[in-house]
Amino acid sequence: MKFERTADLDLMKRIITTPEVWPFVSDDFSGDPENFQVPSDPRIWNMLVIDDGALLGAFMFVPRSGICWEVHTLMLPGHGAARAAQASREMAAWIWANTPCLRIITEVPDFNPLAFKFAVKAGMLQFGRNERCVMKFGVLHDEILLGLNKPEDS
Amino acid sequence: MAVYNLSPIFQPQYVAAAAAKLVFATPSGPSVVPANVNYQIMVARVANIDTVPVSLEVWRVPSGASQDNQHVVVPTINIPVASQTFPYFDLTALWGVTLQPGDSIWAVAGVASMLVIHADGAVITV
Repeated sequence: MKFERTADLDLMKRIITTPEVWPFVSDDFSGDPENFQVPSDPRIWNMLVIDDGALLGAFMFVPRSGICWEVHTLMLPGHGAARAAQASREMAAWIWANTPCLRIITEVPDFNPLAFKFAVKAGMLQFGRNERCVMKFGVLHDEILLGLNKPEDS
Repeated sequence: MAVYNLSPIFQPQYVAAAAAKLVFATPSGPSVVPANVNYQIMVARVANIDTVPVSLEVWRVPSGASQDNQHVVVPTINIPVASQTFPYFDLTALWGVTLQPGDSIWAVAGVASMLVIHADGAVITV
């Protein structure tokens, strides 16, 4: 499995707005996927996940500080949970080895229990809960906050 | 470096009543994967627009191979009639498959022009 930083925002938009991805990364105020614009901030690391030549999806890393980066997981359908979990573990190792990031965090809405299990399988630990902060289909939901520290021996 | 372009792999098309290659969406409708690209199927679905279940069989045939029993990926199954609550049937055997130059997908339906198949994925220029 390999990871490539990409500047192709059109490809990132297509990944994010894929019908199997968009419902899980949007809320009632996200608007139409056609009008979605991928942030062009150069501090953001958009990473493609490639396995045996196939595009598995992407991770978007948005720095919250110089060393704490928030990850958005954007795995495309058709590859199974096991490969996605493997990608997540290997992505973290790549980030520790190749960037100044020392802590990865993520926010999982409570209407997406699969994403929560995915994050936990990737080694993330829950450190908080942002209550009633997302509205989906007119219902308020919590976001579960999870994080992962760079191992001291890596 | 490979270039990835998310794209339809099969535009919606009828499945014939005799085994035949499905037609890829790009470029200009080939029935085998062209040179210098791979087709990665992410999602493949079939809808039965008949009023009764219709059988379907699908083969994944690598370049140079034959459409025979060794290459069946969906053995003969009955596709239920599409409805508002069950609009299509997921062909999960094709999900995640990466096709290489010369590869093709064959299909046959029990009744012509009653199964509509389509697939989305990525065209990978290698």
